[in-house]
Amino acid sequence: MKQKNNSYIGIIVLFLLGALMPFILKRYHLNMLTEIIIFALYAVSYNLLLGYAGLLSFGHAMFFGLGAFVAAVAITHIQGLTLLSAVIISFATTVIAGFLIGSLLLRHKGSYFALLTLAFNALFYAVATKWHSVTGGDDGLSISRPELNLGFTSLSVSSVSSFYYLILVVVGATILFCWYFTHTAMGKTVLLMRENEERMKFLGYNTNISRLILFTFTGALAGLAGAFYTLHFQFVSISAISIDMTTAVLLMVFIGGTGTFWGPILGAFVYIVFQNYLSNITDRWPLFMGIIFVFMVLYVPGGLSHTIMTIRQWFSGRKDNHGDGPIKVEETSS
Amino acid sequence: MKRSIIRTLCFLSVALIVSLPMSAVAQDTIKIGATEPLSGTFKDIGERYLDGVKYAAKVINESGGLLGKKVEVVPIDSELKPDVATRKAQNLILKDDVKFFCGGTGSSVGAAMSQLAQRENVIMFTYGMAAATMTGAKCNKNFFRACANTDQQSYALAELIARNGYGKVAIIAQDYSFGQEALAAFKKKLARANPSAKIVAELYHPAGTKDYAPYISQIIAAKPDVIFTPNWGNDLTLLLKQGRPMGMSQKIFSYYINDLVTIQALGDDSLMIGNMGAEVYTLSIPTKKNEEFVARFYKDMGYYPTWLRGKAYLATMFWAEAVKKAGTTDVNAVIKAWEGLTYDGPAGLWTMRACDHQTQMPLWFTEIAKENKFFKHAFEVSAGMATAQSVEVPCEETGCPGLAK
Amino acid sequence: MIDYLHIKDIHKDFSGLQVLTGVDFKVIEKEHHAVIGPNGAGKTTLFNIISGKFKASSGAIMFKGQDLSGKPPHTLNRYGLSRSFQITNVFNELSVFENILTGVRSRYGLRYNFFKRPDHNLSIIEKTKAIIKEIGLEDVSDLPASSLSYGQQRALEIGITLSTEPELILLDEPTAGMTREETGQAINLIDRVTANRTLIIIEHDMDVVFSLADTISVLHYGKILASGAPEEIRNDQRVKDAYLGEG
Repeated sequence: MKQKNNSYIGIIVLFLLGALMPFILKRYHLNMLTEIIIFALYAVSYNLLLGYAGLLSFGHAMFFGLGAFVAAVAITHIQGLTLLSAVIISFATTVIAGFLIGSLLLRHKGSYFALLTLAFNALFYAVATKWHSVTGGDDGLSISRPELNLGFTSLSVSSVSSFYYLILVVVGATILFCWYFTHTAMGKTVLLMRENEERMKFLGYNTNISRLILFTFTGALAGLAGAFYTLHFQFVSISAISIDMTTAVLLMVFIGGTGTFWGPILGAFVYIVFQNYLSNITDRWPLFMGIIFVFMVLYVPGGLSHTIMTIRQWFSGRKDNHGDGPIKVEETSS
Repeated sequence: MKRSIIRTLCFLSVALIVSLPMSAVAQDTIKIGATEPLSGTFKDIGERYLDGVKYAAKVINESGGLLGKKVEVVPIDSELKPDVATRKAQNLILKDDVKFFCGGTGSSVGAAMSQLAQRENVIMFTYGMAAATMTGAKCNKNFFRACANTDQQSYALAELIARNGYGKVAIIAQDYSFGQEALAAFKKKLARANPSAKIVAELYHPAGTKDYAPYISQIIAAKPDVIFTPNWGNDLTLLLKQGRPMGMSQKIFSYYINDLVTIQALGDDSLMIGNMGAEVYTLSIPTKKNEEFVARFYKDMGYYPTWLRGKAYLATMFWAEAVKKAGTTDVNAVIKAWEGLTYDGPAGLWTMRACDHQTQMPLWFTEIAKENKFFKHAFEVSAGMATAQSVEVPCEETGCPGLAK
Repeated sequence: MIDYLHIKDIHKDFSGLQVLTGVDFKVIEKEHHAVIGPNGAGKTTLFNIISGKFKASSGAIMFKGQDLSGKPPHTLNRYGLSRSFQITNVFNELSVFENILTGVRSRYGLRYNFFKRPDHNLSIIEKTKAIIKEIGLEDVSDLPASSLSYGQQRALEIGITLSTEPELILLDEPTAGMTREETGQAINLIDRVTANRTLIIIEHDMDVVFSLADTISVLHYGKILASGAPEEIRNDQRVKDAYLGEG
């Protein structure tokens, strides 16, 4: 129970610290932090799929992009749509899409599954490119961020700091829920399926349904991240649904490490900061990102989080390994 | 692990604050962000435009700056992607409070930048994006165009064809919005300028077509006097390369015929000689101011301010005039000052029309000839001009609801 | 009267290879039933068919009047069937506690819940602890399964099988690879935990069979050669010829 209290205190401290940021950071950095939080959700959703369930998908961007486009299209076409309604429409669409695509693809395993997700992503991309009248094709869609309607009052979230607070609370809470999710019955079921799927079946778990539910859930989380991405940039183009966006999430997750829940959050931070600085310095920043990726995969396969854990264990040498109990699995997965 | 999440995030937040360099640059410069593709396939186009903007800044700075401040060009590699361009531009606005942006490549980038400019209340102007809708149905008060749009260029070439008395015209274009808009405008103007002229063939091909033989046979069969095409890049060079040997010998009237890179890439003067074009800036403009500008540029840089360089230079100088007139960098003041402003530069008298922010200017005709002032190979010579009035699209016809108050 | 469990004329061939050719026997409720037979007789195949891992080529598995043949393992588990594995099949990285918990929460219907934490549910925790106590692993409850001794892992294997509170337990060679001493303990354990439940057990070790089983069926070349009380089987001439005599 001590640990439980600690984590609650930690969460409160974290949110308070987050709430202070607009007073400390410049607008530019606050804007970047907003972006980091949004991409952290995207990375966390992917890690639930890859790190926890062991499903390698090359098509996560189709959900991110779908969420992003649905939000933009809804805001463009529905007069007076509030911000949260747009997000909910987007979320609901990706839930349906995730369920349908999952039912089709999850019959296949391993590399077949991975290749099929890649193919589906390419299909989504092609549709977004060609369906000019809805998606704007190459031109993309510009939107204006709608107001936040809280029932009794409407708040404008057009400024950098007010939007940051919205993201901190809504996306932050969603990430927090993802963390909680890894401890719930479903979260554990998914994790154990990767450990020993056969045994799970013989213990009464329908593993096919579980996988479908998880695929749908992570897809919807990615869609949610996509919707907030649209709201953040107030613009969406086919880049959001392209293979590049899948590559981006792979990079974030691999840089941060799949072994821990927070690894991908760290990965999103590093990725966005690097992208911002590198792309200002050199037009070949994707090359440098690629080199970092290869380096990470070859020499630091557990990602930054693994390195940090190792260093921490060095310093507190006496710390016994078994104290963490259920977490053990997460740390040893890769 | 729970504690480690918290620790890491605390660490991250602190790192974010500490690691970021403080950009405490005093406001002694006027920054202008130039969104161009500076990597990838269209790198070459983007770099030539950027060259022109930078040269304009150099000229301004050497003559005492703008409002006493230096103009600093911040290149933004758009990668020709609207999301990349707007993201970087947004960062510049937040970081350095940049208020002015420009760009010449990619109507998709332009449309997104135009929206961003309106939202953030900054100014975006273009010296190369030609889609008429940007100052038409999609116009907004923060977006200015200091070059010709598809309507004006098609009008000018239709005018030229009518003036020379050609009666039968074949027209061919890439099958997407740009090509379609260009042909539509051309037909409209030709019908007015020479009602007896006939379009004997109207063809569309996918952008990036490799085999033009089917189109060329149709053109030859239609026996036109001349051919009009807004094609550019490979779609222009392949049309010429494959068409001439097949016997398509007619003069070609094209938007961008005076592109040095295209001419040099073709490497065969006989394919190009006799073709004609119309642009807001060409090297051969026979004005005193232009001769001075070309001479000075050549002296400074060692090469000519051909086409894109010249267009970007002129537009940037026009913008500087607006800032000068406003006497401040306040965006609303500059918008107000630019509306209706005239600029008498190397390419004649330019006027920024208030109703749609589309510059009204003369277009200069060129013909490709063996003997020219600039190069040993075939290049443009001056072939007259279309007055601003003759290529003007009335405010009511642009589709822009009207910007002036 | 409806039979408790009737394995009815089960055939199984693997692309032409006939492994089971009409296995047919009945199991009475609360009975401890052993299936014995020489290697390659098809015992494990039969087990896999009863537990839903394989589908029979023909035949039926009638459980309390319902045909369960062809149903997937997770469905069978909810009917009250649970099996163990010959080769230890546990969650290696998890603690003993978590291993057992996984089955217990399945029994309590906490499989796919997005909001409830199984480790916060008191009755599940109690039940898990009770099972761990039953299999004698209280001392190592927090250790990962991979760090247990072989005997302990086998006990855990049985514990997981029990964790969904089945009424029909299928044990696949539970004492395989054990020392004499460990085997003795395992027999005690199995005897204890399967009291009042129906048990089907596959076993090589005749000591185990004769100390646990009420009824024995002998599987020989894909068919049941004989079925009866241990004494009958011991004295059956066909069985002696085919199996016991040799070994």
